Amino acid sequence: MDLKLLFQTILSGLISGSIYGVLGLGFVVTYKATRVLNLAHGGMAMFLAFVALSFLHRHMNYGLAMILTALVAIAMGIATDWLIMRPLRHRPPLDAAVASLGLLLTLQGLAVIIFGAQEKVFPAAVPLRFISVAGFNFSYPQLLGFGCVLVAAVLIGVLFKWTRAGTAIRAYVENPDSARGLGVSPLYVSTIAWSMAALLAALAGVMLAPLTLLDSLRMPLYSVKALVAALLGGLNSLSGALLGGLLLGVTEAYFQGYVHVRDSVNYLPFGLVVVALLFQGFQGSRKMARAA
Amino acid sequence: MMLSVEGVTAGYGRGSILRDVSIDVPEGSIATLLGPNGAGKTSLLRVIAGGLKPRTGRIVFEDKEITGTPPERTVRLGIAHVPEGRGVFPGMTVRENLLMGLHARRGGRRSFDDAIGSVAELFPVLAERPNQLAGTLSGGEQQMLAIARGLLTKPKLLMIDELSLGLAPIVVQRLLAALKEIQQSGVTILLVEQFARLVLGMADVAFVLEHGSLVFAGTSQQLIDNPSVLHGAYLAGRKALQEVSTP
Amino acid sequence: MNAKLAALMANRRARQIAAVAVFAAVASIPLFGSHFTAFIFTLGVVYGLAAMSLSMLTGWVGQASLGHAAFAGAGAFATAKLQTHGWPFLAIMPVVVGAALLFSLVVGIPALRIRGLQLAVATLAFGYTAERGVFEQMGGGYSNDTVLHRPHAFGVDFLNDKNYYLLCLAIAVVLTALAANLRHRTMGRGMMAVRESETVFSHVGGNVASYKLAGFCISAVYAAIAGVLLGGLIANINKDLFNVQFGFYILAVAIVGGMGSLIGPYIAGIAFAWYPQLFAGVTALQYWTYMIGGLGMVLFVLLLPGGLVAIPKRVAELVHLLKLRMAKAAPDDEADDGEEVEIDLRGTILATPSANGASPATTIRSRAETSLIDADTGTSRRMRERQQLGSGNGGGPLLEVEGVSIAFGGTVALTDVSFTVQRGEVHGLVGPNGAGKSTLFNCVTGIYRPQEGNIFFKGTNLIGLPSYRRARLGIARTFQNINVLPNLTVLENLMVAEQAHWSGNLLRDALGLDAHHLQEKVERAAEANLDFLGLGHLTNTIAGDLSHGTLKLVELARALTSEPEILLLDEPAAGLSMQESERLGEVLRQLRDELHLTVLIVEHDMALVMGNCNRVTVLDYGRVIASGEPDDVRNNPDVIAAYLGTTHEEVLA
Repeated sequence: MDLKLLFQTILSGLISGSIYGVLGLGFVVTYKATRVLNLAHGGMAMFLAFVALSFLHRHMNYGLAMILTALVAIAMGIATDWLIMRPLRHRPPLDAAVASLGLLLTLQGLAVIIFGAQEKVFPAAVPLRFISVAGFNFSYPQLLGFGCVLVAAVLIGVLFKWTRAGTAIRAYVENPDSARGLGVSPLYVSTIAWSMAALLAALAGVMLAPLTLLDSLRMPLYSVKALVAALLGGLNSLSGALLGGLLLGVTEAYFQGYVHVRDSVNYLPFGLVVVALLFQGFQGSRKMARAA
Repeated sequence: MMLSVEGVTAGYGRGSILRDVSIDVPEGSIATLLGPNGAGKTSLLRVIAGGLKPRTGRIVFEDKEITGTPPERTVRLGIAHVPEGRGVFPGMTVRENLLMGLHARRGGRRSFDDAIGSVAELFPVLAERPNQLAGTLSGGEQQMLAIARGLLTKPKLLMIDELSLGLAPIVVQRLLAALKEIQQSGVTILLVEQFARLVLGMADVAFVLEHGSLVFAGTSQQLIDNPSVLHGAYLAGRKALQEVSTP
Repeated sequence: MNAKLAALMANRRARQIAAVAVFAAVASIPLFGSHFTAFIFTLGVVYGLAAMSLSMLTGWVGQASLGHAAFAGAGAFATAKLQTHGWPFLAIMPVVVGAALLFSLVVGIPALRIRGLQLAVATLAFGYTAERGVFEQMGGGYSNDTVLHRPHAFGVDFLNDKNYYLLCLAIAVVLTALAANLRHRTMGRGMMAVRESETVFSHVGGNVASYKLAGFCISAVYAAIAGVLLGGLIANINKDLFNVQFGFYILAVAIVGGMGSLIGPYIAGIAFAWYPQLFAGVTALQYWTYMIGGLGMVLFVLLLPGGLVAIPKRVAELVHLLKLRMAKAAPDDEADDGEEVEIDLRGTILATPSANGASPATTIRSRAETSLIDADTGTSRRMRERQQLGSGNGGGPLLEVEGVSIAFGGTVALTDVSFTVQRGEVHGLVGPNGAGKSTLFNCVTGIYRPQEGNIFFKGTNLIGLPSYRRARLGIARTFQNINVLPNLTVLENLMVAEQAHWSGNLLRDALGLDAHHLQEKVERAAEANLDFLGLGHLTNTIAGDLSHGTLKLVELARALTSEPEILLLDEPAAGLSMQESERLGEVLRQLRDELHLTVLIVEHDMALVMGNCNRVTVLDYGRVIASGEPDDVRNNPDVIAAYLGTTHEEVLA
């Protein structure tokens, strides 16, 4: 087996996996803080990528376009929280998931109505040039994307670990009643969580868009992979979602490169979900046995 | 009065856990709320802190009505609530738990070191192990952490639910001594306790709940002088003697 | 308010008949219209059938599937594929059903063992894989569609759109009738109970995982059949017809129609099939429909969670609320809901059985007669055992707890706890808060598994048995926090206890072949138990409308209906007033003396415990510190110390 090819495969898997990871992070943030499985997350990423693209089409500076997109993202996150999720707070968890699915369909329709049905080419922030490091080839956009993921992961880690808001959210997740008693309002937590999730969606969207063609149907499907990534990490763990994303990316790359069965890579998400669920079930029953 | 509860009826769903309960807690006192489990003590604290809305009745705190104010706001008014089972954040460090005590205070973070100094005097063990996860502390240390965290909110009224739950008597003694110090610093204390003997000696006023109704309100000396109230509430001394058990 | 509701319930039957009539009238429209109308209606019926499969899944077992399009597609593609091999349509149908069952097991078994939304995620991934993998490979690209031929059967030409419409309608009606039938049988009631509370369900002897799985499998089969019908309607099928998006769209239809409803999905289905005509000529029509479907979903979940079918009920509620508001505005009228219920509670709980016209003795006889086990087969085994061994002490050990220890993450909850409950006694388990009483209960009923020790019931070691098996052995419990199923009637709540006796067959149940005797017997037993506890007048009240005290008794009645040999009561007096608690004591004695039940009771109300228990075991810090007759225990210095604390001040000396 060509060892170099294998390494190259793994590396490119890590790069696409990091995007699944970032999308997966968004699922985990809202799930952890507000117990909502936000199925619209991929749709938000898609819609925000379109928003970014429309800014870019106005010949805006790339950085400015991203900043504006981030603002739109925050507004979108807060609106989702206030208009849809908060009124459903005391309902069964399924209701919020279903509402988020409705939001996904709405965003998909809206994207086409506003931005058109044509697939769009999303310009990369850096020119598509290749660089060779130690005999391995990387494209600039790939490297930039990977860098962004790392920065985002570190930022989120810092936010949760060191800031007042991050500490408060963690406290709220651990014991909501206690946290409220110390002045943390549920409103504050959900507003921050949804803004963060939307920002992560925007990041994933603009990272993913240059690598594929941007259309309203395809990108939300990436959220299936992201959800798989999050589930691999247990749906409750930020680092778990990132690792799950990387795992999925590498496995995919491996299947694409080495398993010569048509479409075999498309069987992966379901296969991994089954593995994750079986493992989770196994862990769950072990935990029960230990605790009980 | 620091706190007046006036004719509160409350419960979950359609049920009533508290029935027309009124108590007055004088400023600067230690008040204790006694009664067997299920009598409604925890619910009453939750009503005061705002976690449970009363169906009827009023809560007056420092001459202002606060009925129905949610917990995240009552804490800013000066009511700290240490819930049953302490409610520490087990996956966070001691330091982070204490930091949460400053969440409601403006610019609290900057004064963290000053603030922590005061609780370190009271509970030195906390200052010694700032980076230990709260979930790995012993029960007594967790209770200390919960009380310290409550104190950092700068309360005028400190409410502690089931102080002695699951703790060895020696630890409880230490906690009680700390409470005495806290009272001397000017904080009013409302203590829910299942073990009457532990707290009656140091409390100024006492209330006894039974089946959600107030069956005694007065000074703790009055309660000490009138033991049948407690024995009745806890071990059914009176009633069971009247009722003939028929196996 | 309750009278109003009762009237509403009585109207339900009439409204159902009216709904069916309207449905029939609407259903016959296409026969007089154009072929295009027939097409739209067929599409609506097929959408409706697919949505109904989701409505059952979500409304009954409380799970959601995001990948039902894959089941529909599997049915359609399997049909098309087998047709190319010359299989006749009717021969293919069993294969379709079998394939749907197989796939649903593959998805459901791993996902449904875990609580939560796992099924939603798993089905989403399944849908993705089906669309991108399987369907694409089965020749579903844009260029080469697969053709699904409509059946030729009974000499009818189903290529005629009106005939095909009638075929689809007939299939939908049959499948809906089967589902409706199932809903009112053991299986259907069990599914509803699973949705409402898995804990309750397992504690009356129901197997939660298998019920969820059964619900999912049925739903998948229905979806597959809908897929075949859709394929036949469209004729040229490809992967885009059954993509993940279609699964979402069907879910939108179900939400708008009303989750749990069987008719609502069809109304919504026809609406969803028809409304795109409004946008004729609009470019990117598909996306407008997505957006409208999506918005519909969000708005209905937010504003009208019951869907279209809930509109009449919602209107009635609003009218009632408005009336109440106006009545309140009138100065004298203070008849508040809560107070009404409070009165109702007193009346209920203070009424003794004899006040209901039956002396206790006749109540027992009627209970014995309605006992669940056939006289000719098992002669009411449990009842007979109880009567023979019953009354008073000395019945021999029934429940033996031996050296049970359990710790949670280093905190010891129980240490070497041993005690025995004798047949026919009321045994009290008391101790200060945190002493481990509830933990012990959970060990007995199977929520926790002790690390050490054994628990014997009738000589059988319970360790390792799941809760539902223990319930079937004759252990029933009530819960500290009330655990009734709020959206079901009182009788339905009790009927769930049939799980303790039922080991039936889904197919026979759906077809109504299972003899009704079990259901009738449980129903009679349930009614007898309600009468026994003085709740006879509440049989058809929705449980969620009742007061706390009454619900405690409903829970007790449910436990009794599972015909237990031992009844575990977890703080039955918590939240009761003093009078209510005294009445409860009376009930306890009746349970023991008249029904010969064995009772293990955890309670803090000492008057209740000391006045009614034969023996009392005291726990403190997870250990047994005293055990014996109430008077001995009460005067035991260790017990007094445990209850009032030990300090220098001997307050009560």
